[in-house]
Amino acid sequence: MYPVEVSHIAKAFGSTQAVDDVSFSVEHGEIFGLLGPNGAGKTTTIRIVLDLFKPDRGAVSVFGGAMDEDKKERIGYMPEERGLYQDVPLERCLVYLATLKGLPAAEARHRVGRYLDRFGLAQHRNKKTKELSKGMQQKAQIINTILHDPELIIIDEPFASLDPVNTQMVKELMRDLRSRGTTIIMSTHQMHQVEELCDRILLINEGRNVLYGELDTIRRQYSGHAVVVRSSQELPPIPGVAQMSVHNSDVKLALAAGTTPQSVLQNMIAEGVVLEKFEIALPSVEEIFVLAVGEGEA
Amino acid sequence: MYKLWLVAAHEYKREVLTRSFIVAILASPLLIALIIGISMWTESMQRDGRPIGYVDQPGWLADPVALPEDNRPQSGIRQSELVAMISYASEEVARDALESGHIQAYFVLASDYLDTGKAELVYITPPGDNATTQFSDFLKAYLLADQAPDVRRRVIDGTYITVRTPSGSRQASQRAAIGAVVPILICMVFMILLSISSTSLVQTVVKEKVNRTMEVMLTSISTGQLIGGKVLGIVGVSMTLLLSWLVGLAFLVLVGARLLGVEWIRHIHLAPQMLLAIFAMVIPTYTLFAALMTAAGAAMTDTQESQQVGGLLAFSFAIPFWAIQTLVEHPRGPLSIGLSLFPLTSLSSMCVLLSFSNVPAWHIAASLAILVASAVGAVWLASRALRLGMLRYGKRVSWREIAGRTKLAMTAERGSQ
Repeated sequence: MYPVEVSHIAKAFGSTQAVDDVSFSVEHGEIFGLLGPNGAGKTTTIRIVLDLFKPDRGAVSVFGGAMDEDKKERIGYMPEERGLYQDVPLERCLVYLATLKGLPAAEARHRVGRYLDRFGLAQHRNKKTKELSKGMQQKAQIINTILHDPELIIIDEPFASLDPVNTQMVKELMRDLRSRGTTIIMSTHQMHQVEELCDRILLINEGRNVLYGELDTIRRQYSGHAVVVRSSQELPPIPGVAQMSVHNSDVKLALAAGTTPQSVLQNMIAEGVVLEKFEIALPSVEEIFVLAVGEGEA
Repeated sequence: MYKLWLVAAHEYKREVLTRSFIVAILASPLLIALIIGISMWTESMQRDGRPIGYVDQPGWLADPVALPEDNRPQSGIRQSELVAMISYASEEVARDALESGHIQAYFVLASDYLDTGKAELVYITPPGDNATTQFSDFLKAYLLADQAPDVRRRVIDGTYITVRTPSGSRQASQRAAIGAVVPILICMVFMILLSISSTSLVQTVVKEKVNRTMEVMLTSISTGQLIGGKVLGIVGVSMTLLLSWLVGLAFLVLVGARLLGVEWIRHIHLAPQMLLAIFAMVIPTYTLFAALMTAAGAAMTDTQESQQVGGLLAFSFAIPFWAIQTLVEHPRGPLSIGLSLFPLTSLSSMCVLLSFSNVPAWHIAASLAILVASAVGAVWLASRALRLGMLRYGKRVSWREIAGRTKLAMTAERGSQ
């Protein structure tokens, strides 16, 4: 049983087809990246999974069946924009929302206190949410999402408005949650975060699946005709290499048509090059994103 | 069900534990106390504590009788406001006293006063009402000096009509006309409350919808729990406010009657059954309006637009006051019956009818039953409107969609179960 299983869902608003045909499954204890350009249908897909929208067609299964009130307590959700009461003191707001997730009030207060300390918000506990900075509000949102120890977390742009220190803290938190078996669906535009965190991804564009699967497999599929090498000496011209470009201490070699990485390696050894590193150049998620979306629109 | 009460308690505390709510609680009684204070001050300005003189040309009052102590003037002048009455031998002496400021005015009784009743009042600035009324009563008492004290008092008191219903449950008197219109006053206080809270309620719903608080909420609870709790909470807030105002007013009335000795307040007679009927209708009426305004907020996309709808709803409550003459003259007429059974106007109509006529129990029961059913229906409607409209940012939901059996509505309903 998958924590989330989406099968050929579609949703239109009037003449706008927000989601046309999206299918995916999320495995237990993984971080699943939901990617796509603006207007691709990510948020609508999330809302369908959360039963905020009913799909026009297709089916969604959460924890093995349709969403119900009990299952809501097993899910933590953080929307992309603000979702907390703006005119209520932070601590009161978080305790209230946690009780709606089924936590007893005393336990909710205890956990809120603990998380506020951990996220550096303890001294702002009595401030109204609207009085907090964007970054603080974002952290408060994250606390609200994980406070009740959900089995499934659906999180939209978790790193927006966070400084590098807090971004690192949230990343560690997400890894920690994953290691404890929590399933996370993360929608984001920050591709380097996807690269660092996600086990599998779904890229959607214009409401349809474009890329779906394990991140490593996808990167291999999109690996270009190139290798990355590092050597202590200056590289001589190597047969089969069309272009060389320096990336920090590495050199990326674009291979000529009909050339394989193995033949280039043999040629380099034959040229007497002392190699410290030789690997197939994998594209970044960002490159894959641009390429896949571009292919789809072509 | 537990989560519904959690939402209701949160909404209640969120409003009540604010400075603006305390100000709102105090505002109305303070305003009324201010009005009473100003009116009492204005009244006191019209009274003068200096003596009033008289010149008894016919020599009729040579041996004046004192005003009986139990014979307080009809106008409600308090003992402390009684002035001394001084007899002057001639008009010249009286004029000297007036010009020196010793007296506020003097009366000159014509020599043929007993035949013509002609008397002249001389003053520099108009005398206080207390003085002229007291002198008038003094003359009446003297004219009736040969009558028994109770007859004398009765004549000075004048006519005093009390109207009672056949059952004896309601009565209204000349002296305490204000008692008869208490239902209308309660209705007006309710109307003020409705107009204050309606726009803020609609605004709150639209704001929470736009900033996605509701989206987060609905991943924890159902739309029914959210809307039901919200409406219950706001009804609790408003009823607290209403009760505080009424308690404040009752306190002012008590102070007015006991400490300030205001006569008309002492004679107010309130029928418990009538008050019970009104208060039984107040809660479902407010629930109905709160739910309809929540539905408007949920269906609309623009704060200003939803405010206008909220204002229109609040306005509909006042329609019976436009037809007040017909309601008073024909309490059993089709318009009276229709308005008192129509849920949006039933409370205001019933307040008018209860003020000026005897409303049968079946009529009150029918209004109440329709009102309660409508309130429940309105909460359901609001829940449905929220389900359909909350996430359709920028797109309004039509009433047809909310009430009709469209595919969208049906799936939404299934989803909220």
